[in-house]
Amino acid sequence: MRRLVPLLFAGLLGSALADPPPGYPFKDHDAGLRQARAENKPILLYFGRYGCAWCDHVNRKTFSDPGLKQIFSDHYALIYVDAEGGKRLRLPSGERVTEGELGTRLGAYATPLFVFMSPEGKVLAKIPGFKTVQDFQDYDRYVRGGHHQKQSLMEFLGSKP
Amino acid sequence: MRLGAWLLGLWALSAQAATPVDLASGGPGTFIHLDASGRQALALSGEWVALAWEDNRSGAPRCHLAVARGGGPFQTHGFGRGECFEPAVAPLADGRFLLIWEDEAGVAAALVDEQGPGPLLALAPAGGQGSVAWHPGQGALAAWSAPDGRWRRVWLAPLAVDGRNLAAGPVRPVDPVPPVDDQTYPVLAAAAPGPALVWEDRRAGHTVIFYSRRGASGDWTPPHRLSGNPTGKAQGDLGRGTGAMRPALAAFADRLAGVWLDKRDFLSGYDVYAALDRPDGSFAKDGKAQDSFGDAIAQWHPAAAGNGRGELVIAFDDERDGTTDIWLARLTPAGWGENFTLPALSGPGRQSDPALALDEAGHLHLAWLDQDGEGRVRLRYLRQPAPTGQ
Repeated sequence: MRRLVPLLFAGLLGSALADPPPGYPFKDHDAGLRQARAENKPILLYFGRYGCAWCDHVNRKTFSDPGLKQIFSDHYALIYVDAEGGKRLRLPSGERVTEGELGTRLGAYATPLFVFMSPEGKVLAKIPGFKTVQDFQDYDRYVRGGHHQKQSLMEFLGSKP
Repeated sequence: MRLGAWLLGLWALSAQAATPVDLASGGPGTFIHLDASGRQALALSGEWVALAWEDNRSGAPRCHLAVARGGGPFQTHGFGRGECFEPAVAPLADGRFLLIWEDEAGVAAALVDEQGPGPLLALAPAGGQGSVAWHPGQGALAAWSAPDGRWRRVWLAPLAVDGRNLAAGPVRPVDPVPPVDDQTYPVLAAAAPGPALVWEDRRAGHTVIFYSRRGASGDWTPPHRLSGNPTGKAQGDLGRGTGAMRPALAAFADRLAGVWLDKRDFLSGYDVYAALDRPDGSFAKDGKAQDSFGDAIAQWHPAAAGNGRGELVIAFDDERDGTTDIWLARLTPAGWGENFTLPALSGPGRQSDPALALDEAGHLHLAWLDQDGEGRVRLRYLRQPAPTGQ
């Protein structure tokens, strides 16, 4: 919570709701998976929680960046999942589970949780918590640069290519 | 040595005859779900036990019910109209049960006797997350969540029993005030004073657990808040409150216990919280029901069961020992006891998604999912002698 103190006035920057960041083409899970396959795009799955302060924070502070918005809008299938939601979705395996159960499977105990996946739905990296614009630019290079085929995300970030 | 480990040994010694029964299983591509609202997938009525679940062994999600009498073999029945989800079961008198589920045509219910599910009663054309309960003086009830305009709303209906048939009385919302956000996952239970209902409610801008109780006059109380997870913005005008979800509700003697996942300590994920009712029908302040060995990790899938003797047990799963295991805790005169597990509920692989019931002799009945990490899954059932000690 102490990390929130310096951001006392960050609320002026964006939405008051801890939901998908405004202006991004986030879709629900199944529609996002279909888009990823159809357009052969990697997936950014955003696990939010209704009322989540850290989601609000990352939406205002990070996703408000126009450059980041362009990268993710143009090059990714964007999926938003409510970590406490009861909506039923279909996993790449064909299994039908609720949003909340998907959160359990992916260990979404802290929100926001960002899950990068291949167009087929294979998990490439899971990143919990608040992240900066620079962090997301690094994740984008890791995913779209194909580094996930050779390195873990931590190895990639440690090597600073 | 942890008391829980000691208890485990004690249980193992006292339960030589307790061998799990596999009710469904499959390899990769088989998905079995034990996910009734309130985890009310297992119920006892007289000598009978009933277990409801969903699986895709036929190629698509279908609902199944297994019933057994007095420790005898289970008879399995399929039910539902097409794809079927989240079946829940509750005891009725004389070895019968109430069943509710979601399927392709909406929400439906049926009575269950030794022949299996009776004729289907359609309750709603859309919705799900159903729950049922029966009170000796006030009859049978069904609750479910279904869309009402922009929001989902919790609905209630009395059920009349006529032979093997059910009939629904007037359907009403649990809260007559028009919803301003979603109401989901209703769970009914019937203690001696009358039925009660808990549900997830988002009217505060985040998820909190509410309850309502029905008095002898048949009226339901206005919604009251059960969970104490804080509402309000964090510093920086951020968010609206911490999370809570998946309530369970159990009657024990003439009392009720509400149990749910609570994220007020948000750094370690969800914890299991509980609140017990008071003689005036309200609920006392809630508190953490798991022990401190689970504090640093997330808990999932909380369930609760009680009996007429006043015993109360909760179950949930977490990874405190490195893999997903099922943990239990008893309510004692001193509060919630130390968490313990059993050999069949722990160890390699993933043991998760508990559903449980307590019979009047104090025997614990458990159903859960067991996955071996190579895509094989089993739905298991165990009847266990009563826990002793803590």
